[in-house]
Amino acid sequence: MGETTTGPDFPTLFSPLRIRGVEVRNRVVFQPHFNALGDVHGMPTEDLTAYLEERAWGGAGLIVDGSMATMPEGQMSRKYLAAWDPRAVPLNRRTTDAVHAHGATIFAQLNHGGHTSLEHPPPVLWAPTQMPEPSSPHTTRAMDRGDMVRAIEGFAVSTRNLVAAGYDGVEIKIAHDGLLRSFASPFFNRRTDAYGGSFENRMRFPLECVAAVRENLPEDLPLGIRICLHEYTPFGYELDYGLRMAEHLEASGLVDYFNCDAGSFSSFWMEIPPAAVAQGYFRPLNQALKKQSDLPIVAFGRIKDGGLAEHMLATGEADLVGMARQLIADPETPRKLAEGRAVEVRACIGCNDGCLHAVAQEKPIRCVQNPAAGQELLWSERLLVRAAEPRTVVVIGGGPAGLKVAEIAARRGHRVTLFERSEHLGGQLRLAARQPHHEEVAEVTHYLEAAVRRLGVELWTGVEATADDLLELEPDVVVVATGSQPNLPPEHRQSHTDPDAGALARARGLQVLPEVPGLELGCVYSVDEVLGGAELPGDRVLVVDGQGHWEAAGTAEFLADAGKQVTVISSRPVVAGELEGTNIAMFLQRVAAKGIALRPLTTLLRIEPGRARVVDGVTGVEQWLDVDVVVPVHSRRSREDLYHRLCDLVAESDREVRVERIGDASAARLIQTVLLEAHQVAVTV
Amino acid sequence: MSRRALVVVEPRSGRVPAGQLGVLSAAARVCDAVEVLLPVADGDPVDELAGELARHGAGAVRVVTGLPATSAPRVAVVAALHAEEPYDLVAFENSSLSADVAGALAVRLGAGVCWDLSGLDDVDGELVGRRLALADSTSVDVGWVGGPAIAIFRTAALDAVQHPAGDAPRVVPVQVPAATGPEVRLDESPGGADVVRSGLDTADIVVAGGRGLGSQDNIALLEELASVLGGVVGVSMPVVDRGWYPYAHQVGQTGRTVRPRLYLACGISGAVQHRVGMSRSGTVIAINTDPQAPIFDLCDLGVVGDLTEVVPRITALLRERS
Amino acid sequence: MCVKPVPMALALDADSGRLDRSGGSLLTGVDESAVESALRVRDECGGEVVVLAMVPEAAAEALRPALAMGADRAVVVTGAALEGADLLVTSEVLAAAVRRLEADLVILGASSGDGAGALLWSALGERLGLPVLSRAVEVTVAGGRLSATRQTETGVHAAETSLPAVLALSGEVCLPRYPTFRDVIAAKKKTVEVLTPESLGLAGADLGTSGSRTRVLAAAPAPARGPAELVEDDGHAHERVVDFLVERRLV
Ligand SMILES: Cc1cc2nc3c(=O)[nH]c(=O)nc-3n(C[C@H](O)[C@H](O)[C@H](O)COP(=O)(O)OP(=O)(O)OC[C@H]3O[C@@H](n4cnc5c(N)ncnc54)[C@H](O)[C@@H]3O)c2cc1C
Ligand SMILES: Cc1cc2nc3c(=O)[nH]c(=O)nc-3n(C[C@H](O)[C@H](O)[C@H](O)COP(=O)(O)OP(=O)(O)OC[C@H]3O[C@@H](n4cnc5c(N)ncnc54)[C@H](O)[C@@H]3O)c2cc1C
Ligand SMILES: Cc1cc2nc3c(=O)[nH]c(=O)nc-3n(C[C@H](O)[C@H](O)[C@H](O)COP(=O)(O)O)c2cc1C
Ligand code: SF4
Repeated sequence: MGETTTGPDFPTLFSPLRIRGVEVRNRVVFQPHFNALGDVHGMPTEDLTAYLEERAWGGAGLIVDGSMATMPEGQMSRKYLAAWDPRAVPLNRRTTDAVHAHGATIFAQLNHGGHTSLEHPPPVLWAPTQMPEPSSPHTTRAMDRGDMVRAIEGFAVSTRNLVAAGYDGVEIKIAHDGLLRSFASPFFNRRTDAYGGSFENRMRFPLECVAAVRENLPEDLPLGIRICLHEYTPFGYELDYGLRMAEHLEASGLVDYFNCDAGSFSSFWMEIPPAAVAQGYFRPLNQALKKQSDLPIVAFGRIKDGGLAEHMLATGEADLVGMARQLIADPETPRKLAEGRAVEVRACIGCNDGCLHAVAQEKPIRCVQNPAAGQELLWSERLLVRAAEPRTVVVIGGGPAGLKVAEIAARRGHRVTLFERSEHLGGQLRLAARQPHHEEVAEVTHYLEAAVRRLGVELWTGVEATADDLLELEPDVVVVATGSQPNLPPEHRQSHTDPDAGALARARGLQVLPEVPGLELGCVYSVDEVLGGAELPGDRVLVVDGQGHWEAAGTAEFLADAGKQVTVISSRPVVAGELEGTNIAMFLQRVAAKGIALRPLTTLLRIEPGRARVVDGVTGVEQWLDVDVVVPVHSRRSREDLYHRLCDLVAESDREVRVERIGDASAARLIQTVLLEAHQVAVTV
Repeated sequence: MSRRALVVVEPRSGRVPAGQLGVLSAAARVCDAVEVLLPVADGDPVDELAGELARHGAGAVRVVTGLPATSAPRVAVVAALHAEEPYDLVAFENSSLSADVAGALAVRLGAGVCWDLSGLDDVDGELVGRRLALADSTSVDVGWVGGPAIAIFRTAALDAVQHPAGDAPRVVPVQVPAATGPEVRLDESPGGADVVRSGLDTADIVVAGGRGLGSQDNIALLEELASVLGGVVGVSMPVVDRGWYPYAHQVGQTGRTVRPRLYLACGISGAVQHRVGMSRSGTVIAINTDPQAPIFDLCDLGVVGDLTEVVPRITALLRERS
Repeated sequence: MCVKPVPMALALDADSGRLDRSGGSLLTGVDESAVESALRVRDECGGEVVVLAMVPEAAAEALRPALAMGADRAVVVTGAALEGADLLVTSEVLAAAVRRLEADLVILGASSGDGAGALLWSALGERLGLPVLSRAVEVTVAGGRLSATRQTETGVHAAETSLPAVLALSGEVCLPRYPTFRDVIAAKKKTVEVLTPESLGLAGADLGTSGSRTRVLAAAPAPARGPAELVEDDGHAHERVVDFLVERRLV
């Protein structure tokens, strides 16, 4: 018999922990996060209940619901949950019941938004001293004593509502945003009354709010503080001050645990750090607080690996491990770890494209890795039903779209065969992962590849499918997921390695070639060629960003790292403007360091060997740029000929075959859309 | 009950390697009478070798001269000796040759083989072999049904133990048996065709690099160190994904499983998918800038430092000392 | 003289005599190179390539990629009695199948260069009374003889023997060919032949665990590697590394 490998064990991660009067079943905390699953009045929706219930089912020990606002003036977005409003109580009760039914514990996080604003902020923002957050256009109103009394009352009322709704504890946010941190901050709080001036005075108002919460909590329910330990801004405080705040709060005797946090709205890439911030980056902060404190500590920040989590707990650097995005990406992470299925965990890729990007625009939360996030009621994997009749499904293309369809169809019991013409699965993501700071994107297809292998999908790599012979496989369903290719003229060198797959579509008027003269020239290199490792002549490279996302931005950086002198132009007002906020912020920091020149509002007109003609979008002035290589990044064209040919053949035959086209093969887009589309198709097979 | 063992050794350049003496010591610990089959070439210092074997527990040394380095004649010799007076244990240190011999011998004698052992004990009168399995996370005890027990030990797994000088060994010459069937002919002149391959599978020393290399250029640092150590370069998946090094050199779940005596991991974090490919290595040394890197949990020596600095210094120092 | 050689690839997971235990439906890279080597011999000398494996029936599909690559037939030996078969049993069953197929050349892939894999090919050679040429990294068949370059601890050497013979490959010997879409479609239409111990005339009683000459007595977590020695690089860590290598006799 072959020996089977058992998953690693996570003894500490799955040991219970008592916090005040509440026992938490394990050490995994689903960290609080604004998810825009409230309605525009701040009332929790059924989607929100289902979202949290899914994580409780998935095995999290503690779920922290929220953030929730303590009063209308503290509601930094309309969809920020209204904890003060009694109408929310029964709706929240629905959530706590659903979570408790799976054996998980649920706290709620309370926050007053203070000077922080999201997409639809309240009419006026409150602050200790009138001044905008340096990164924000909105100034503030300096609070008077009356405001303070109302704010404290807001915490009190909200706490009573939460208790009535069945929460097991309350967490107060003195973290990366909100009123209480701005009171504690020497930068934002310049008051000279009893609430400013000295450290003790600055901590006075936050402590009054904490006391109000404690007074309204039953004796056995715990009170925690989400505490920002380091603001990572030039003007803000650092770890030593964060630790001093914690020490002071702990000395009050009102606090039962700390949940670590960092960053601020002016350094929001450290609040919700993208992949460019190393995994486990914040461990020194957690460790420092753990060292000085006697209370249970929740570690936070880019923790996605079960082994790392166990290690952190086992070595005593924290008592609980916070995971926001890892459990967004895979709600079942704790369950899989506990059941020895660690290899099945789907990792968060730290892209922020689905989660943060959506909620920053007040759109309901989504996830690139998990098509069901925020729409569990529609697409949860728990809703997958075994197909009544197993079908023969043939998938063409082993990029994210093809792999996802294969995964879900196989999970439903269909017989799936997948063809990929290159030697490796992964599609464009194999190229994407070569870009600097973008490696984790490969985990999308690593997960899917492992899943389809586990599920016994018949995989043929290195085999290019053609429409002509396909029906001989007698498929019930064919899913065409052949992806997309850079839209360069067929005469271009690219066609040697990636033959034009749009000729038929163009003949039918379904596709057009781009009209810039010179795109066929040898000095033009596609992104695929560049990232594929082509030797480029010369040093001066012009990247044309017609896309705005990683494809151009990351390629520019890849070239700069290879020692090229890179200029990026874009017709739009911002280069790389489609990148999610934390990503663009960090990209721009690196651009400066790497000497990449950005020219927004500049359009490419024509290419000649050694130079490119561009026009300024504001002045209309045209100019030649001397460059050795041009890398145009505009919308890719679908490899759709196979689909059209196959549809013709099916129509000619008397067979009943369902043919679907998904992913970039139907239109080039981003992973999140492509995976959801694949999931949806697989569910209906 | 008295127990007889035969340990088959393969001297290299006139010496018996320490690991093979370790096997002999282990056999001597659990057997009453231990013989050694010693193939020698003309000019090998037979008396000296026999003396050394005796110090490690050999009672008799069966010397055979001019045996080709193929398995069939060895199988014949051992089978003939066994027919004369049966052994309870036939033990080898792992090698290409001893594995070839042991497999055939098992069939010829109808005997069980336990391989990859790193220990041998007598438990209540029964021989028990110790083997590490599942990425060395599990220790498995194995036994034999009927005799003789054929045992292959992991290379360099056992320490050679010297006994106070006992009796001089009995040195008994053995004849090379006549071939009975078609034979494999070996060209033992050094050199031979240079085939394109990674050589990872059989490498004794692997110098491996991961994403921490930072750039393709730094592969050269590994190659230099590997050439000084006589090893082969291995890499983690990101290195292959980036096109820095060929896939044939990838170690791990989707690459190759290696088990060298020394695995030097430079700029490799130690993800589980990588670990399954190398955790059975003998000695592991890790160089990583991150003191928390998981690779440090499974190494014997960890250096917290920048590989681009440490590796060239190791190479230079080794060159200087040799 | 070359008398119509019938090369045959035994695409086996050398560790267990089972193919691709990972449950995936692809041959492992190593087995593919065994198939590729067999195909090359056939393309040179003619004959037929049969892929043979001893696997549970459910795993028979794993042989299909070999058919797509161009193997003429795929045969599995399967049967509940074979569960837990050890080296002696596995080699006996495979030897019976090889005799039935009248192969002139038996090629085994190697998923690891030592341990059970090496035992299997030599045991098989012994059962068949054939010479075994192991650890081959380059192979030629001509004039009824098999020549190979072997790679072992002692270096790279040429070796040769007469056919019929057992050939065991070492690692990645050659890059396997990729089938075309047409090849795949054709392969999916072929059947994988199934043999049982009974059809090979082997007595059931002595197979599987019951016929095994070794047994597992106990398994327990292994003691972890001793606590690692950790040194900060203060500019001298390389000295510690080199000393350590000397201590462990690695240089
Ligand atoms: C450099 C770069 C960076 C990117 N970064 C991001 C990002 O950060 N976030 C994001 O959301 N999106 C990103 N994208 C876009 C993302 O990669 C695509 O949305 C996604 O890959 C589309 O998936 P797909 O499966 O539809 O197509 P593809 O990934 O193109 O896969 C199609 C597959 O089909 C195969 N194929 C084609 N024809 C055949 C045939 N006849 N037979 C068999 N196989 C065939 C191809 O070889 C390919 O593997 C990036 C793209 C690039 C190029
Ligand atoms: C299905 C699947 C299969 C996989 N198969 C494999 C496989 O076969 N093989 C494999 O390796 N991986 C495999 N992986 C990937 C695996 O999960 C890891 O991502 C990978 O092993 C990480 O490689 P790494 O250690 O080189 O990179 P990282 O994890 O990024 O580690 C780089 C390390 O280098 C260190 N470092 C950085 N700079 C320096 C410096 N200057 N000096 C010293 N140290 C430095 C860093 O601290 C870090 O620890 C697989 C993944 C999946 C999902
Ligand atoms: C979309 C989103 C919204 C968030 N909103 C909050 C919040 O309201 N309160 C809070 O304390 N933290 C919030 N966070 C921060 C998370 O709790 C967590 O600290 C952060 O995401 C880093 O941890 P992770 O790497 O496990 O995701 C938010 C995170 C995300 C992704
Ligand atoms: S959208 Fe990206 S960052 Fe957010 S949870 Fe999903 S994978 Fe992680």
